[in-house]
Amino acid sequence: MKTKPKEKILTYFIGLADLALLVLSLLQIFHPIFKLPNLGVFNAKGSIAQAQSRLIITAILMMLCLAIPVLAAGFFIIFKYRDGRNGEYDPDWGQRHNRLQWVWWLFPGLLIALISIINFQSAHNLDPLKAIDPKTKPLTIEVMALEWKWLFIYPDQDIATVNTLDIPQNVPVQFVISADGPMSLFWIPQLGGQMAAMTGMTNHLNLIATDLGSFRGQNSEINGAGYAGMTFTVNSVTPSNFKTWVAAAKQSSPALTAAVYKQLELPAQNVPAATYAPVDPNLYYGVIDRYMGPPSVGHDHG
Amino acid sequence: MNILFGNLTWSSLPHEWFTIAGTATIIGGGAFMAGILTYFKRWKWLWNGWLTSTDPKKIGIMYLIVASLMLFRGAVDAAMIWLQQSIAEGPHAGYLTPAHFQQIFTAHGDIMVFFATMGLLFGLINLIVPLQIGARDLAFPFMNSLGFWLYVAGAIMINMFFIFGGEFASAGWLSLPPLAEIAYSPGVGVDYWIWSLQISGLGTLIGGINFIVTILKMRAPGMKLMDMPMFTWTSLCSMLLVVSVFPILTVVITLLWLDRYFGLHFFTATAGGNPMMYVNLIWMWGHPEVYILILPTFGIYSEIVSTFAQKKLFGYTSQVLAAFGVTALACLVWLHHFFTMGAGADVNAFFGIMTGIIAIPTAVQFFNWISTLYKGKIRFATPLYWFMGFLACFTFGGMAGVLLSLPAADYQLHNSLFLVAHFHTMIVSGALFGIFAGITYWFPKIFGFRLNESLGRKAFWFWLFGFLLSFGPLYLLGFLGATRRLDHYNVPGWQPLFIAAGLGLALIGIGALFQVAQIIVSIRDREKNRDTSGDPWNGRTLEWSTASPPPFYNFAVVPTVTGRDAWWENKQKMRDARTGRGQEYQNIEMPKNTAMAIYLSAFAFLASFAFVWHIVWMQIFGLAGVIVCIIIRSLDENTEYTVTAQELEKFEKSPARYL
Repeated sequence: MKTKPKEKILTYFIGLADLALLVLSLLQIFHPIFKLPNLGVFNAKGSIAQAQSRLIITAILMMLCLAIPVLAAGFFIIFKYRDGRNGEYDPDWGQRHNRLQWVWWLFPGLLIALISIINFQSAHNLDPLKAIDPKTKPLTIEVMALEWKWLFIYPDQDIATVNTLDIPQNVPVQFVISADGPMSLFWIPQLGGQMAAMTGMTNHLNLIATDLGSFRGQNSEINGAGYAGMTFTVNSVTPSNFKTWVAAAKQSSPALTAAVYKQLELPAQNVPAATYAPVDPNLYYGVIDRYMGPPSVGHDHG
Repeated sequence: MNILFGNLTWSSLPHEWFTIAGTATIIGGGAFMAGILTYFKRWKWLWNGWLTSTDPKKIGIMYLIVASLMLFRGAVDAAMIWLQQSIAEGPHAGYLTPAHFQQIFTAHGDIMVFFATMGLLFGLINLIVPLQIGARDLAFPFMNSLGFWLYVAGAIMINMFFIFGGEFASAGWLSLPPLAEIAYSPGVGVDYWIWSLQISGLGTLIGGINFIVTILKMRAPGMKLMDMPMFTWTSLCSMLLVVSVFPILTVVITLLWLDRYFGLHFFTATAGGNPMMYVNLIWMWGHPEVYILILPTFGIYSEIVSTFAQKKLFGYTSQVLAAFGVTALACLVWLHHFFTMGAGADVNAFFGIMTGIIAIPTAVQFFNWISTLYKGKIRFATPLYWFMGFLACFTFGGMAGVLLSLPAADYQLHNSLFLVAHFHTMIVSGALFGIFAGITYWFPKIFGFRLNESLGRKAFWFWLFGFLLSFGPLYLLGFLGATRRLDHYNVPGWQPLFIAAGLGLALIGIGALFQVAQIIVSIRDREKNRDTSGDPWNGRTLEWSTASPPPFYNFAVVPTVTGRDAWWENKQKMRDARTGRGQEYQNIEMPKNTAMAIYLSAFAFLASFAFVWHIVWMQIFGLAGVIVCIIIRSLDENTEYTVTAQELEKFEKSPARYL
């Protein structure tokens, strides 16, 4: 089957993007020398973040193809026709070439047409709602953004954690996200993101870690005084280590009851990591329901 | 609650270092100015000559002065943000509390957008648009004065927290709920935010209506729409956006206020409120707002390019269509500010593609400017330097914007410092550089003498490199996963980049000092740099056909226009083409001065202050005052006076005919 020319152009760009990403990953060898942290979104540890960084590089390269010649021509012209240089002064040039103004629409038009294609495709391929592998059952983690800490509930494992998150390598994870407080944004730059956490509703975010390691996670939406400290660590571990971790957590952790949650709910800054087991099974949806109930007089007058 | 003072108590008065410093600056600065005015006996001059004036040129200059003060105020915020972010790594907590830091960046955003950039633009539009279309004044001179004074009232209101209350809003420049609701922001900060934007927003809306009517109805005879200079066109587009979207702002912050004041639930997290509705509505205003800032400066660049290339603007029709394309599309892209709020892929892709399409008319304008420069005779004056800086920076800022328009890429870049770097590139190189270019370009027209070129260029280079150094690292920090608005972080690798950004800010500061020096030196050398011709740049449009500075009536005889670049064409036809020379003068009607706009704004200010502090009697008093002022002004039919032909002739012949 013949590929359409537009698609062909796109494949060239994606090839170039991969090359650029390769160079970037080689550069990362030097990051201790430059004291740079892991190169954030370009140091992807999962297939979603990998695809997103590839998309970013592809789009940048496509735009440079127009921007660099235009800028080069622009500055060349500015200096060539500087008053006192030998550039020919022809004030009526414009009137004779008036129709060129319509040609100019074509160049950015074509570029944006191409970018619109990858815009549409990537918006669907990388839709956070989409299951990563329809054949595998994902690990479900309920995320609750509190003032100012993250509560992660593993409903199938019956454990919960605060500000720390263990996930098995190469297993798709489905984050089910809500909030019990102001709006927050859930982001793990090296795995992908971001998704809003809002009261009374649930958002979904599907991610996967293809590498082992510890990654930084954070809130990216201002939600009050403890905003900057609302970070968490994501540990990608082997599936067998994950099982061991779950078993250990179940043995030695306090239960997450309604009373404990009430304590957890109180605003607090820079909260240390914690683990809970077992977990009140209705906790997550109970919190959501609380925000959907009838108006209660004086409820939100702090 | 106290009947006399509402929620105001002794503890509302300043007691922290920054509120004491702010209050001292406000009161000290005010007392100093009052002292100078009293010593030189200038009160009457100030009141009659300036404050109560309805002359758009004087109002324009007052806009520029107030906006420059606010630009300085916003820059101090920027420096405080930088200092905190440079030191607050790991064990170092920095010198600001999180709450204080959050107030500073909130104030920085609001002041820079609403009071610095908007003020500078309204100043330039006031000064230049009437001259460009050959009008003597605006369609509604009183409304113009009112718009200005409401803007001033808003600018004072946003600083009132220094004196009463001690805290500003800390929920970001758009005060998104539920964070900005009473449950999470119980203080008066958000109320100050609401009322400051409410009054100044009304002023903007009034100004928008005024300029649309002026441009459509008051053009010189013969000037067709397609003969208008580009700055007038883009100002028209900008004002069309103002009247389209500012009512949304007015309504949405009124609803937020109802939530906060009466405990309603439009946007609360609880009781059926819908915060997402607020996010949608505020961005339906907020995104067009960005184009309100950028469009007029694109017009300024068009004027500068064709003047300094000494060529007709290439692709005028295309340029007008592009401006209208941007205007229309500006209203169709608001959702790209929250791709991460969970809309489906189809919705996100639609708004993403619409956003990308805006790049087309924008890029076309670049092509047209470069075509204008082609085969020109380009004079490298300071305004052209600003244009060149803009050309380079804006291209990359625009690329960053297209990148952010891809929802799948935005999931990784949203609310990161990459985003912060992007919109600063657009506003600084797009709007601010353009404003600086415009001020340098029109300065001789406004004040009668040129600005010092060499200091202007030095200022430009410091601004350019300072800008690159302060925002380049932010792009990188965004890729490294750094989010915006951090008062503290635990990643050592980020710190050098934050410090580099701060050094960039210091360079910008030096650039700003050069600008101040430029103005001082230019005033000192004003006799040497005096513009006696009225046309120092060999200009093309009508503003250059009258004297510099223009007489209060702009044109003794309104020029008749036969085509584009009216003044240039006139000059080609005859040597001394000064409008009105040798023609017969006629009696003209000019608007009288009025202090009513000041009174009305003062009452609106009082009412707003009373709403912040729940002082019921003062609310009623303020609102009643506003209504009475409107009635008195509406019944006043004696708002104009006649300048007779003889007086006009005398003015035209005497050298000191202004001010």
